[in-house]
Amino acid sequence: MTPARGVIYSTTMVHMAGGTHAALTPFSLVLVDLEDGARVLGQGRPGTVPEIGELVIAIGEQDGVPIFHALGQPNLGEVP
Amino acid sequence: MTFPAFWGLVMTRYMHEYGATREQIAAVSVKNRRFGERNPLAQFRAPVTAGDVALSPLIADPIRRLDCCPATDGAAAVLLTGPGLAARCEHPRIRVAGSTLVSSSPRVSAHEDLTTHPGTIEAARRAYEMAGVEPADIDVAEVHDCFTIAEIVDSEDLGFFPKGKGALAAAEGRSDFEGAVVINPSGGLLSKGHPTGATGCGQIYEATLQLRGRHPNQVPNACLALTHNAGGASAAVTVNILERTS
Repeated sequence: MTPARGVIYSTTMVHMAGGTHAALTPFSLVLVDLEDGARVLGQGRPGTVPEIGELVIAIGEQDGVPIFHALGQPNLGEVP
Repeated sequence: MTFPAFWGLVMTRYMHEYGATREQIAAVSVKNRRFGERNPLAQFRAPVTAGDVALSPLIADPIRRLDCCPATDGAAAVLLTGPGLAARCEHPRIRVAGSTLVSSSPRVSAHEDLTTHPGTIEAARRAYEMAGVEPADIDVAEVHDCFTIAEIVDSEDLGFFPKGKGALAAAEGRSDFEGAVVINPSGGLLSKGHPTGATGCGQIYEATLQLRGRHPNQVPNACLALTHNAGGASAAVTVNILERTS
């Protein structure tokens, strides 16, 4: 199956969060317009700073949330 | 997803799409905290500068701590009655000229355009129609400024400013006393705090004080007031238009 691809519509880097997410900060969220027309909320690849308009590809998921890697950003190997 | 994260997504997109600056958006916090100084019911009564906002800790980039309202304990009540009993009341009479509740999708991904909220647009349209007035007729508005960017987006969706011009309008003081409509002279949620369930009635209380001419930040000759409250990612929106009748 081909991994989902799309373009970042918006993004934010979360620096403060409560509960179980607190230990994950900072982490990025991305709202992605997929090639099939759907818009999905996902997480940006840890260690990268996604930007609006970047082409992204889904590289995995965590707790049901897709993780996207921006194609223009350095390949950091496996998702931690 | 947390609310700061949702509004972080909104603010990122808004700045990208309309070229709004960080300083323009901070103008909302500066204005509302200045109004809060004079409101004895506000949780925060110390003014802030645009520099303070810019230096406050990042919460969900580009949203910083001073872009956020505090979660607060609070209570508010509204008494409604018919014209007969109201005529015997010593206070100036306030009529509910329009009142609407509209729901829209709670899913963030369902927002076709994050910088505009259809629930607010539709609730406002119905309330204006019910009251027989237009946005330009409103003297004072209490708007759901849970975050600075929320007041900007709402001020556009309510028809006070053209799309994409809300941040510039805030920076130019057009939602302040020198503007055509004064937004959040109570200090808004940014100063008063956000006691979720009581926030909407609290806005009506503040608007009523304005129409009675007794507000600490009184808008001169206020005759028409609007309140706007939203829940979730603007999934449920109420708009009320109140009119002084005596």
